[in-house]
Amino acid sequence: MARNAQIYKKIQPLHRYRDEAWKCLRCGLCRMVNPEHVKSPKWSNQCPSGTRFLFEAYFGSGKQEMVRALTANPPELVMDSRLQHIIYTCVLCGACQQTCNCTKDLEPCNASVALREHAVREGWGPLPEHEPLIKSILNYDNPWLQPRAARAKWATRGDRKVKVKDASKEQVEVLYYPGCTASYDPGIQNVARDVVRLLDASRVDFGILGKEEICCGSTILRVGDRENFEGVRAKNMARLNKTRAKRIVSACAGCYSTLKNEYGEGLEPEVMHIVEFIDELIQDGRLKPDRPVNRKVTYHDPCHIGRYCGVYDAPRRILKSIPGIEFREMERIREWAWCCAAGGGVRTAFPEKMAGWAAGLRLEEAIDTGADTLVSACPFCEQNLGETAKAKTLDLEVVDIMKILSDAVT
Amino acid sequence: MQAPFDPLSTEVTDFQQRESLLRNVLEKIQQAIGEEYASADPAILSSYSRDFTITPLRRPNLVALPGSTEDVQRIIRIANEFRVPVYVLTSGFNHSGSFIARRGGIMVDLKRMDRILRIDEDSMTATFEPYVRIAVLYEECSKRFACEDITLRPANPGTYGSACMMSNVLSGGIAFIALRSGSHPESVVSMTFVTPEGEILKTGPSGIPNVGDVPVLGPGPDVGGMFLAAEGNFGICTEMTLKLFTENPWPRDKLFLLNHVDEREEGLEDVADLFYDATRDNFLQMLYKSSNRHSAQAAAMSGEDVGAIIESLPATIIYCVLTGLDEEEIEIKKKHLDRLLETSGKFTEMPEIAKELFFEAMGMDEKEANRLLLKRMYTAARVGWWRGSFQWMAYTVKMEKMAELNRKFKAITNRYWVSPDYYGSPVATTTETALQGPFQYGRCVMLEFDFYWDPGNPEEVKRGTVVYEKLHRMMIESGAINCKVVSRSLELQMPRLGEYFDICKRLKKHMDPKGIMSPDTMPIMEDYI
Repeated sequence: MARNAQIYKKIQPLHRYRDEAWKCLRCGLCRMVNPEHVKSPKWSNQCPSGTRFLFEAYFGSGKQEMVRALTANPPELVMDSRLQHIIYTCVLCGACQQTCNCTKDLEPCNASVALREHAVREGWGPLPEHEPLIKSILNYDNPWLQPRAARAKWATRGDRKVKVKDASKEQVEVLYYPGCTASYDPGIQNVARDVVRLLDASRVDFGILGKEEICCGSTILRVGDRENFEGVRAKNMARLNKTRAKRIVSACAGCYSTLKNEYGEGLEPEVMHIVEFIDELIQDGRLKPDRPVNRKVTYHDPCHIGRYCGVYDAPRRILKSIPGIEFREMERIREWAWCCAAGGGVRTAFPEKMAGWAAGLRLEEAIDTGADTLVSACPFCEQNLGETAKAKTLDLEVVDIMKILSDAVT
Repeated sequence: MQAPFDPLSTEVTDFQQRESLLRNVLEKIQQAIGEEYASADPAILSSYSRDFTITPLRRPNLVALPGSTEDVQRIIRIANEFRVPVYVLTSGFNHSGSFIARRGGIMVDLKRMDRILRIDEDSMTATFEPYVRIAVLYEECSKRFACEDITLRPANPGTYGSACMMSNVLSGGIAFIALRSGSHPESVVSMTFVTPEGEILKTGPSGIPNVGDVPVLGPGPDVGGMFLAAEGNFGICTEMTLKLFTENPWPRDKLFLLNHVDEREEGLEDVADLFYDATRDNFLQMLYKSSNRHSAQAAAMSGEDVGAIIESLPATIIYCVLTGLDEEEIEIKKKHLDRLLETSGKFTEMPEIAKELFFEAMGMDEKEANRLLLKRMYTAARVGWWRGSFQWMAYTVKMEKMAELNRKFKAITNRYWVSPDYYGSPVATTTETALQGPFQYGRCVMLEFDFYWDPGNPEEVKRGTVVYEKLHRMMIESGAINCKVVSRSLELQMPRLGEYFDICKRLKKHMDPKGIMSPDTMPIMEDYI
């Protein structure tokens, strides 16, 4: 039975993890899929950075030892470039904590977050590759060095145009929060367009903040810069609360988990991922996927909606509700899903050695199911998996779940 | 701020006093197996410095990740050339502190060697590398068939599925279905070893051309035995061929939970009687005694209130599995069990409602509990949760010694460690007695003490070490023998071997003249520390 592993929640200063670091038994569960769910040797590993670099230090258990040694009095370890590499190649996917919590209550992922924040305080983080993103968020409210004025252009372009209310000017029931990537990345903007089309088809009273929308701060937070994140959080929370919307929905797994877990009780609207919201609409009969989509589909659980927030069933129910879809599961799914390594600032800093490598393994696992389509519900996963699939010229299409659903709705 | 860990800070051996020599060794190993597979970075070394036993922390000087038997051979030859100690690691989950680099040196981490090389359905064997984990081997074997519908599996070692099969076998892990499969050493068909001088040695029939993985003894004396329970002193095993067993589909089984009426301390005589009587007539497949503490622990893992669970459960629970070819046979055995319980007057079967509560607390139904407890204990080892770490102390003893040894054990722990009311508080609970077995028709049992402690608390470490030493000495001197090597147990046990101990020392000197393989993990070197 999988428990709620409280991944990336209530992060403490590094020294607060010292006691539990001593309690790591070196059982090795954090290195692999929960043994009860192992199906084959090929897909039995669960820790991307450990599997890639193999030294004990790169696994959850090794990070516990980092914490112990760094917080010893006197310290047995000091920050250096190797330690920095160990800390920043961890994708913070939470898989280690999920399996650890089968038998113990340790928090190796949360400790890794604390390690990262410690690295920032010590001047060893964020990495130089992260700096432009952080500066961009602080200066332009998005990590992609794009002007604020261009944020809502996605809504006026493309084939599937719909009229969207401006939630900064009129009150709406549901605030759709596309996030920076779906707003600016031309390869992902269709996700935002698909979402508004589906919301419109369901007659949902919704709107967007448009040019007034700002970054949720996830990127800053994940690289360990909590101080700057707090500034972004406060600014964004004020704007979101001002809309007086009842719900915020996002199709970005990163935005969703950040708003839901990191903004806390101060954020007044209820936060939902789009798959949860759409699932409700389908269950209520307000949205009917009636056009067959003839694909063999498998689903990749993004860490930020899966392990971080426990959303596993909604996307599967959506896919299974679409006529024509032949749904196939990979071996590592739900709590035990293999992370594609797009997150945690890893793709920015280690695009090929880590992110591309991990995505390649996930694509291979998807192909093993016989699927022709790999569906996810996170723009970062889609970017990473999609670009890796293209680079490897694989016969597998990577799409967002909103695209598949949009195709199924007449 | 202290400087990074200095491998030269302790004066133990020559090599540690020569930093340039270490750099040389690192470079040679990197050339031999690949630059990215060897490191002397403090951040890398640090994570190899401790396990959960009472063995003191110590970092190796460098870590190497070989990918093949030949890589291991290259590393051993370099270690010999420079007289650098070598320690070996697979998953790192062990009770003996065997991978701690007590003299520094090279840590050979075998994580790259994770292949199942072959599964031979005809000979019912599996051949695999050191980092093949138990759950992985089990799953792969279960896809193969001995004959129609009957799948294969290795003997269940009764530990985490994340631990490695090979090291579990080599260190004498407990085969949980020992009544059917025999103990682990009996399952070994062949092994490939890199000796301390860098030779590749194949034991068993797999080493003979054109024979294959035939489970047969010989020809000639089987020297493979000297590598078992040897704590890595005679080389590094890089391949193992193990007998497989059938996952029989036909016997049915049913789990019963028995409650011992009398409380705690004095109950083991009754348990011994029950074991003896039940197994004498051979109607029980297995009894396994645990206690409410384990149950509460399991419950706590499921987010339930520990205190409430303790209150709702009896003090002592005995897991009892009846097996048979059909329901009728199980029913007959159940009647036999009921008669036995009635005669003894000390046991009752737990009411259904208590059983349901228990399973609910564990987050599983009866079928799942049965499977986890007695077939695939891959994740069921919910140990060390409260205090953090634990020292597993398990001894195989004759049945008649069980109660006496348990009493002595409790006397020491009550005096030096726990409060008398330790059953009342999960926080205070630090020791536990459990039985596994019985083996050999009720004549022997594995008496297990899980000794819980917080390794991050210096005071508790100090007291824990003292108590551990006292307990261990008492058990050994009372005629118990360790089921498998636990930390420092060999210091007490091996000298009692007499002439055989001397032979072991001579053998070590002959096979490892430079004393590089896992020094100080066994007391068989002249300069043992």
